[in-house]
Amino acid sequence: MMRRRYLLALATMVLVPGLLACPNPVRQYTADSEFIFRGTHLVLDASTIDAEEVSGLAIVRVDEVLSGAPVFRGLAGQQVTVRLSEPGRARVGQERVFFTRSWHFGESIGVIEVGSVEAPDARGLERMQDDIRQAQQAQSDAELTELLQSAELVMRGRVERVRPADVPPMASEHDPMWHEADVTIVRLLKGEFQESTITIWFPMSDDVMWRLAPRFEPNVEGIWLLKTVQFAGRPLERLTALTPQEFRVPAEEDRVTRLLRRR
Amino acid sequence: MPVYRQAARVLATVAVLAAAGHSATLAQGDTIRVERAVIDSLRQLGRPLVYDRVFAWVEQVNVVDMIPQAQSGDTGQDSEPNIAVDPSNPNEIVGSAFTQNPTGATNLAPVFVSTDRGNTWALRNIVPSGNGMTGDISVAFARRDQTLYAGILRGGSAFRQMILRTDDPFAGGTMTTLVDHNANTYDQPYVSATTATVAGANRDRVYVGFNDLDEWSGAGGSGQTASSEFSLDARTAAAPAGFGIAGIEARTTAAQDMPAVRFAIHEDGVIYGVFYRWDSGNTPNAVCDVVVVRDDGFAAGATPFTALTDASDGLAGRLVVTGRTVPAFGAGGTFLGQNRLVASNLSIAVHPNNAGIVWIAYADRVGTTDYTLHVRRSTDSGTTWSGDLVTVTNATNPALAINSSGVLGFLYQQLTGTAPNQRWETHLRRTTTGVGWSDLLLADTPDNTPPPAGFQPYIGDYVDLVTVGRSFYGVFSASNVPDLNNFPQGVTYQRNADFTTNQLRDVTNTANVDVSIDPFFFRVTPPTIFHLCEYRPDLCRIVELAPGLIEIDVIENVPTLVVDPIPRNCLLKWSCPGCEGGGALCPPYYHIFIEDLDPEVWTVQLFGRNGEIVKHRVNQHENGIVLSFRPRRDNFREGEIGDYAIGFQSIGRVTGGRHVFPTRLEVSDFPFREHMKRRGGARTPQ
Repeated sequence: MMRRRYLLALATMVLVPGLLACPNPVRQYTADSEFIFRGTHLVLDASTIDAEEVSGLAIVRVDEVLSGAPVFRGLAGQQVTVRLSEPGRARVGQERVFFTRSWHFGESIGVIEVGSVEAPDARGLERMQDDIRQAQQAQSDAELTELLQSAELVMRGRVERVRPADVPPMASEHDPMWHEADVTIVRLLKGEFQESTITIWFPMSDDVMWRLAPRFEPNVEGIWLLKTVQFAGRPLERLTALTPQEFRVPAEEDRVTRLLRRR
Repeated sequence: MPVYRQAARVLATVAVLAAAGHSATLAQGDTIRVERAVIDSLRQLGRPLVYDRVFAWVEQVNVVDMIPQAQSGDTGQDSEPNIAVDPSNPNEIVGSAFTQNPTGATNLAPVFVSTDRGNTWALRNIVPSGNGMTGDISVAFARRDQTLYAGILRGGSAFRQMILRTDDPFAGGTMTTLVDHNANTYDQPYVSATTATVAGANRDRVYVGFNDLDEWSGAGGSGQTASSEFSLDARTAAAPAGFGIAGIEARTTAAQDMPAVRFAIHEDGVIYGVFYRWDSGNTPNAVCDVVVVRDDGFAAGATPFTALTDASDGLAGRLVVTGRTVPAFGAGGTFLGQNRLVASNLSIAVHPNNAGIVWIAYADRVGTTDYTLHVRRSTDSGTTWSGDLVTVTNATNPALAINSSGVLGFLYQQLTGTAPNQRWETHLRRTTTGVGWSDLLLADTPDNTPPPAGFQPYIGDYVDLVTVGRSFYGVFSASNVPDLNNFPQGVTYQRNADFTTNQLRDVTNTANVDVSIDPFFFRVTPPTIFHLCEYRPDLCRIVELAPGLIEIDVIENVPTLVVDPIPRNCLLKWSCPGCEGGGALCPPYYHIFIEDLDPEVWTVQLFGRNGEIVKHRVNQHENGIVLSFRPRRDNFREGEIGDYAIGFQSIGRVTGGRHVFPTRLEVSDFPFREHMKRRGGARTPQ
């Protein structure tokens, strides 16, 4: 995981012009962060969560949420616990921008500091938010690029027909219930395929294992990142896209095309 | 008062309790619980309540919705829960369910952690994932030294089975991957663990039952899919930490074995396994045998799990029952209520004090439309088996565990009523011999609210039950409608909920949240305390008010329980500053110093406004103890701290007369240890 994060961070730096030449801590920290906020150190070696050992922790008031999942967005004005990356540097009353990843969701929220920088003035904060947005976009591009590289076929298409695949059912709660979808290829973006229609497989099962896998019905349009997967000890007979990231809305075609060219 | 009078009153009380409707059959070593209604009726009758050893029969039942307060907006279908209790420190518990990473990140999935015996829970993202949640997951602690093991199907990676380890699930680091079967088709890894001492060294022995679908005959395999993956020394070694695979199916099958493979470990090295052998027929009405295998030496030999054979064919694995129809799978699925059936309803437990006594639970169809659970027992190491000792019709998710007194716990979920208004009753039944069974109804929740959230299982393909000492710890999933009528033993929600309007509330308590499926933890604890005072502190003996002192009157040889409400103490004994005291933390930590109190003689606990035990820590300090806690925001008042009470129970021999303990309160922004480090700067020493 760390190796993958490192490679993604490296790719991010390569994808953002000038980043490699002049390391920007904001952009570096952003790549590893789930929750970014401006906050004030209230108490050092203390915690709002159930932690008996509080050395290296700090209670920090969230003054402004800059980026984060919905679970973090309502935290402005509240106290969170931060496991500091450099406890010796923190001072009570200090205002910083914290780049953090998740740790504890209980009676309160605890996060782990990836890094922090001194909180800038309003204009500086706007610039910093631009940097954060750029870094997040670069990271998202790097992740999509990785998916595009691993795909055998990338295409824009439209589903024409759907039917059960001719495979024996598994006596398993996780039987994918493979279905076939005939997809008209509107534009082939990567790979080679001679026909105008391709038959792909997808799981129709409502089992938790396939909960997030894309399911298709006639007239659905999108961009497929297709590959061969191993299943039940052998390669699946047809190409498939099993994660939400491998089936994307048509509006992303320009972005996909741009990233494919950049490789 | 003379002792004989005390005894008479106790007997009178017990008689009233018995007359008040405790009709369930009690088993040896079993415990009962006093209903609140009984206590109320006693009070109305003006009966005296005296605490005596008789009340050692009375037990405490705690049911807790595990979704943390910070996740009050959760609407996920958190089904199929599992649990691990650290046998060396049962304060520390880890739970799992089909729960999404709260941040939406996909690289890690969460587990639930508790450090206070399950009273409160938090989520920690420590499980490797590809989609932010896990596929199948089970968890188990080793017997000693806190190492946690998990068997998972990695989220977003189909049948990719992994075995994980962490020496501290409470610290928050990602679990170490010991085994990663990224090219196999393995299903339902179910982990069991123990610790053996070899030449003075502790060695964790970890056994994972799973279904090896690479051996499915439909994929060209042998059809012998019931399997084990185990290590005899998994604690510290680098991956794969000694793990290796051994099949446990000795016979041919119709195509494969069914998904569930469960193990029960006795610390002497005897290990039992149970699985469904698919003999004939087709799903959804496959005809199966229930097979029990055994190994007598931690599976360390050349032919593991072959110690038990069946006389009919001489092959390894005793055929406990044969030719049973097990409804599962099939076109459109097979359901009990809104929950699917997948032939995973097996459980096995071995007596901790006698490795020859083993119990199993299994499910089948007895008639034409039912789904019936059966419990059977062997007292000769699996060679011969009883008939059904109990059956439950239209029930699923059996889980067995045996406590240190030899009491078997049988947890299950039974569908009752008529569609579309059916309900799930979650029961814990107990017995020692299989003849008399007590029955504790933990939950009675709707099957139609909420509807399934687009995936199965609705409540789960299994639940979990474990024991530490005499206590039972378990977990089940159910509808989270906040209605006390659904929880006959009471319930605690951490997430915001309004039990008056029966509405879940969001994290800021400003909007309603849709009903969903939550995991519920429960703990059934034999008493170290008579818990009447938890429910009605006003009925209990109250400590006299005296400045700076706690005074308890004790009757010679009569166990004593007294309650000391904290707001009263704030009037006279202590000054009780709150958020206005100048610190940063609101509410702050309170440290109650009680001197001259011997923790070997007195148990001290903190109770909330409903009599529930609330989160606190007790540390020994000098010649007494310090009880530390931080009030919840919704039970905090300036100058009074809040509606809390300290309970003192004598657990050792106490001399008669008045016992006096000097007391004082200190307030700070820090938990006890850090507070003591900084004590010179403590905010308001009193």
